[in-house]
Amino acid sequence: MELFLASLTQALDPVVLLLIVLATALGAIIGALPGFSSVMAISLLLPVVYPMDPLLGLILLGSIYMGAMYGDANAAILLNIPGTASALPTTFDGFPMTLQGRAYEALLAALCGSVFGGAFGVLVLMLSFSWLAKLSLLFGPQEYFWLTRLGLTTIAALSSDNVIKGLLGGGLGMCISLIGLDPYWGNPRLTFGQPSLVAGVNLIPALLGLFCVAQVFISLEDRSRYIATTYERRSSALKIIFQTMLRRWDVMLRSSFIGVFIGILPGAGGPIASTISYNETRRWDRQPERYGKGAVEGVFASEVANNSMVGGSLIPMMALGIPGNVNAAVILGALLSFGLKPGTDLMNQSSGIAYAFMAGLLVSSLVLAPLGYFVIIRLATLILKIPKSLLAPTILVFASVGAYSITNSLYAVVIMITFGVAGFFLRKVGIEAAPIGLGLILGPIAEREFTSSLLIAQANGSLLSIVWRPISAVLALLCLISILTPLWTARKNKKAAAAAASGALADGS
Amino acid sequence: MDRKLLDVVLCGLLLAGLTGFLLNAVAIRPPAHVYPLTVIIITLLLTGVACIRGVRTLWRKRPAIPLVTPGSGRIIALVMVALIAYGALVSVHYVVVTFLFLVGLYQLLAEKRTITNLLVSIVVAAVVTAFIYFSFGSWLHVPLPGTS
Repeated sequence: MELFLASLTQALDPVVLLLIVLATALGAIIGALPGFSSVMAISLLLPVVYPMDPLLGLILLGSIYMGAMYGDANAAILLNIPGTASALPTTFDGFPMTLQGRAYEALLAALCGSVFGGAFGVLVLMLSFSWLAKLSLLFGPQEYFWLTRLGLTTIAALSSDNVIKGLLGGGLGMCISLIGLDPYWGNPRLTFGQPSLVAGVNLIPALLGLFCVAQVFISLEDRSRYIATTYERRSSALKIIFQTMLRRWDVMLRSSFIGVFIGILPGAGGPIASTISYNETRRWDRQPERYGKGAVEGVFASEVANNSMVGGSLIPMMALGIPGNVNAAVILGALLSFGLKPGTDLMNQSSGIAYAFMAGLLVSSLVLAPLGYFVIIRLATLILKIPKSLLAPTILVFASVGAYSITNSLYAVVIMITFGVAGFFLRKVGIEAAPIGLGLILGPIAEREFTSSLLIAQANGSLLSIVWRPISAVLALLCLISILTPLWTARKNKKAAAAAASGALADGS
Repeated sequence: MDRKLLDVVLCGLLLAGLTGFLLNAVAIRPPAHVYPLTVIIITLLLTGVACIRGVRTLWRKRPAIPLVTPGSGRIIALVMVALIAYGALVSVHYVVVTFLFLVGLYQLLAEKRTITNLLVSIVVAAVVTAFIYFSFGSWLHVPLPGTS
């Protein structure tokens, strides 16, 4: 407790606090730009932090990471553009809320969810990081494979209106993600002799095309002057959001635990955390049909998990030296360059720095609340006041430069335009962008883990080892339940509708 | 174009593309072929089902469903063409092509084409281009095409 209070005092030093505020704001702004990721934001400031005091440098990087994980929600809600893959589930309900004139409510939900999730994740990191890191070692490729499958089952839940088209979209995304080098032999596959396809289809330009460019085309169909015809900024919105958070404490806690848990698993990361959290929230809700149409709980589920994952992803990095994701890997690089060794050394010899860094992250997650409420949301909602005639071309240019900056190659822009045009026509025939995006994001992870599982199974002499492990079996069962629940609900609703129709006919006769 | 017809056309294109994928995937050296083949075959089957459904819907003589809201097709097509042209020409000089693309599209989408609107378009396009040039090109050191 004394160590915690001492660390908190260090983090609340005026200079450190100012640094946290600036870094969190910078992260939130960079995260909100299409094509910019938290990795880019952190990497950008690496040269700046090297000459700094180790604690200040680490807090700066951590705060940017925290801010960027929140920032991407703004573009996802207002423009249907997921700044990063983790924010994809935020678009499912966030953008419909914008179209319904409830953008302010959605942005507040994302902010409150991010603050809650971020603080929760860091508190877990502070209290239990050594034993949680050991827990993460229980997960092998088989468990990761089933975890990714669980994320993919969201497709079935999202497409209850047309399950075949939803699954087809998911399959299409997974097929596209197969293009490039196979993870087993390293041979090019499905490239049709095109050297440019050997590196595969880059995820961010593809997502920018599917969500951003296609959305611009869709928005041009509607001749209204602005994106959202109504925008209400009710003073009672914050009170309503707090009440919803208290009423739906189950959503907040479940999403936080999912975020932390997925975060501690090396290689899993934000997209899986937010997708599984969204899927589970929808599955446990009494009215799952509300999701995808503007349910505020959907925004909470995605954003809480997204941000609680930040603390979780730093657990294996600090305790074992295994980065949970690319962001944690960059921070690990900074940690090593400061001469700090992760693991027991970090906790024993440099425990002051370790705890002060965690306290800094906690302060950063809390700083997000006033920063988001007074600055970021006000700035972000200005977008809704820009006429579509000016906004649509500007979005296209920003998306293009965002795609280009990923690889510094115009090939990325070509991918973005191709996915944009194809995405528009596919949406017209009922194949939505969300399942394709999920397939693209989770497909490569599923393949990597499946290939490793297959190798282990071959070495063991039994393919059953892919399923027949305690955690794998539970995850496989959850996958099955997750697929069957929406199908069963759709069947039940269909029967109820048929019964109601026949009842009405009988009454009429 | 009728949306039902587009459904069938797209399903046909997907069937052709996925068959190409399948033929390529057969050549993948085992055991790396298991996952791609499974994914491609399942997607191919789903596309087949979607195709059959699409053809059946097309067969039933129901009223045609327009692809886009009447009156917006021309604008969407022009924006698509402009974006493709932008992608093709941006390598010439990023700043000049981006500025021209923005002014052109602002004018295309403007409700009224007046001198004031044109001036607003030019100013906004200049600000956006300058912002991108300085933030990406100068600050983030992204080598923008044709500017180095």
